[in-house]
Amino acid sequence: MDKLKQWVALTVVGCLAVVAGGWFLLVSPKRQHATELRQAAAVQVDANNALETQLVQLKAQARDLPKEQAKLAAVAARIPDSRAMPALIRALNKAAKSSGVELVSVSPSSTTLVAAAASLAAAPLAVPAAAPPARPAAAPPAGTSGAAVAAPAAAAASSSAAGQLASIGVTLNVVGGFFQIEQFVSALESLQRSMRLTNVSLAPGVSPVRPVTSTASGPVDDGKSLTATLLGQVYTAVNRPPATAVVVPNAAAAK
Amino acid sequence: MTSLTAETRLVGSGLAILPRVNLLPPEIAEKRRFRQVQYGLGAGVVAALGVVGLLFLAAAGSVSSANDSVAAAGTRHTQLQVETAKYADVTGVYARAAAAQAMLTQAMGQEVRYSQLMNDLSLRVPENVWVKNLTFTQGAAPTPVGSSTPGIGTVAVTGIAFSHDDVAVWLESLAGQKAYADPDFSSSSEFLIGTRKAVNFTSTANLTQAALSGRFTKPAGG
Repeated sequence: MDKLKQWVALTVVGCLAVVAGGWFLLVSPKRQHATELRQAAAVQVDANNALETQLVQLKAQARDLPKEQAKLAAVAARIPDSRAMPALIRALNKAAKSSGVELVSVSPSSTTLVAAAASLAAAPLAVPAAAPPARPAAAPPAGTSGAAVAAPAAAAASSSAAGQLASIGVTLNVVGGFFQIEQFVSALESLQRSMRLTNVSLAPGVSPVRPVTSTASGPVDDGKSLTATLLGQVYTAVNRPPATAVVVPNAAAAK
Repeated sequence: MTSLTAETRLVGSGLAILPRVNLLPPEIAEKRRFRQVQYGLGAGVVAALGVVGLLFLAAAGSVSSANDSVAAAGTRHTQLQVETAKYADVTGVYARAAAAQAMLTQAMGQEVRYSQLMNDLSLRVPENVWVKNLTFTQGAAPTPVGSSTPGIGTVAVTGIAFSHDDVAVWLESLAGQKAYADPDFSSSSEFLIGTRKAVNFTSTANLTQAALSGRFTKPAGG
């Protein structure tokens, strides 16, 4: 009977050992591995969900792409990638004619990179025409070859996907009546190319190019003619990446 | 050695029940019972192994299923990445448009529409006051003592009035416009126009933030 009890006890111990060993050596590691894999799959599914959301947004953005391209074109018209002086001269002359003032003189300065945000409230002209020349920061784009692209060390302009902002100071002298000059200023503010006036000065004066009755002391001032000196800035985008055609994948499906 | 069961009785049929005779030696019986117990114990061990095996198979199945899930999620991830990559140009256009808008804001954010200021000024010049020279200058204006609002520029006006009181009215007129702050004058001196007394005056005021047009800083539709 003792032998039987020993057998039973040993067998029970053996069974427990088999179950425990099997659990800890075989089953538990497998289960642990399975848990890790499920967690990895869950992480991947979360990432996929995020990607799907992003994809939905991208498809929505693709639908509105023409609007964004129109915005880009509008900004490119306001801030061209070259000095575009001929177009500026024509625009200024047209504005002068339409408002009835005499555009006596136009004096642009050199192109100057604009610092990130420091120069927004700067003096009338960020860098006057007599500013000391500095070494070019980058190869000037086509159309700026005749102008010095100055890069003052203090004005570390920020580069971006739209290029670097550079300004060109412009001094205008016009002659006309108060309301004609007001109209001219309004026309300048509505130019297709952005022009920011920083200094407007009006004083009595007559046009130096119109024949007037003169006396020994000079031309007769009728009291209505004013001379206006306008200082402003137009802008150009240096190193703007060229616009490339964008192919929207499966545009029909995106709708 | 043989033993007869004690009971011998008659049943209804008249046949007598035969006595049970167990001729098996007790050692053999004991050994047989022991063998049966051994079989039972062996079955228990096999059952334990079976349980462990079943658990292992279940766990292995779970691993296989999880592997499939990981593979499927990975495949989907790759597909989504490929799909997303097709829209890289779209993202680029949006980035360029945002950068261009920021550039425009940087360039024109401090715009003042001087035509509007001139128009407002022409409507607000009081009677008996004539403006001769007018100069708007944009730039950091000095903050006058006692004033807390820094200006974005200055306006300087020289003109003619009939009296010093008219100059005061002019300064009040400037103060009444939100584009100007801290109007002041530096001189108001009498002189004669023919036989009529008049005054020459020189005045200044600061341009306030309200003078900014905000055309390029306000969000679209805002």
